Amino acid sequence: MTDDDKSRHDFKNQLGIIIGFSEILLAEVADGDPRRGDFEEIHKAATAALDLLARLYPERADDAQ
Amino acid sequence: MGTVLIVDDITGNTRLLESLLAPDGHTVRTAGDGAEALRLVRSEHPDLVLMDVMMPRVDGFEACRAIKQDPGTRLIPVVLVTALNDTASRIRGIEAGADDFVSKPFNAHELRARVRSLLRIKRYTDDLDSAESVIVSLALTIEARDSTTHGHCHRLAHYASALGRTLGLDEDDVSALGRGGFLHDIGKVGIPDAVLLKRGRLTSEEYELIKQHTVIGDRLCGELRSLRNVRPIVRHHHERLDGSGYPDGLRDDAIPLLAQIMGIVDVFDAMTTERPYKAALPVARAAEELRGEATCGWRRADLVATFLEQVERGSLIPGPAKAGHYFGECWRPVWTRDSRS
Repeated sequence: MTDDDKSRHDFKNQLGIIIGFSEILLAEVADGDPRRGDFEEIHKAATAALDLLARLYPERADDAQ
Repeated sequence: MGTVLIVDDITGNTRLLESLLAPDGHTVRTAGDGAEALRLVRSEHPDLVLMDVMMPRVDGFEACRAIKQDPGTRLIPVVLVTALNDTASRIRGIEAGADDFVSKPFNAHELRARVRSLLRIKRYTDDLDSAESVIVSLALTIEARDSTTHGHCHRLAHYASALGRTLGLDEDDVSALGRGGFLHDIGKVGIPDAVLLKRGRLTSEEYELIKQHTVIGDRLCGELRSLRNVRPIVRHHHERLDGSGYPDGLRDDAIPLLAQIMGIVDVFDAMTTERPYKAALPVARAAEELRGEATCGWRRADLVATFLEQVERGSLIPGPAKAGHYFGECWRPVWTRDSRS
């Protein structure tokens, strides 16, 4: 595994945790809850970071499924 | 619902999975690396393992392989949950025996649905193990009906599997011989005590009834996939090469090899132990009788010779092996003679 592969893997792990917990929080709060907007921002930012990661550390062509 | 073991060296990941699964009613255990996971799998037998791949010391591939190579744990589903999405990693996971692959970051609904599905399949395999346990317990109860056959199943399991190993048979066949040792006479559950335990000579009607134990036993094994290579042993262990055996009068190699092996060790054990209808023969005398059965065309001479070499070398003394040795560590008797009283 190259250093880039390792970095991508480790970063994805952390983003997955943020996305996962923000989805749990969003599932738990009612539609009118004032915190809902904050959780949505967390989810949006982490998802955007995931896209950014794919651009910064693209997977190799031979890894495409 | 079931017990799920989550294995990941990053606590955020284990907490995330625990938060997703606990509300569905699952009992969750966690481990921080592959070594701890193996220890917990062997001691607690969870219903499912969700395993990360990239972990220090023992990684997910190695831990998965160890779980799947152990007969006591190989039926536990293992899902690799990993941020490694490349094809090579997936292939490694499949080769390590993983039952499923989930990519991080995962979709929570999909993960929960997969967990439910795999736990359902695990319940089916547990039910099959239970059916097998009932059948083995039945076999031990039948043996216990006649005090002179005590230990017969254990000895046959030992003799037959040892002979199979010496003949170079593969592990599936050796395993079938071990299990066949316990199950070969299970059909005797359908034979009344008055006939089975009769001390005098059997009438021809009584003998016909006894012969039915092979057919009854075959039927009892039913369609259990786990017993599919034991059924021929149960049905055919009283056949003879010249067609004079029962129940089907098969000849020569139409008689399955495993049944021929069981026939040899069964008749040897019967000769060398006391029965209601006869005294025990000394080993040398029994060996002579067995060679005679080969000469008159009932048994394969090479199989008899190989078996008797082991007997005469003294390498066939059965140890204290129990049924669990042949049926995997998860096997537990449903009942035993002691627990019935």
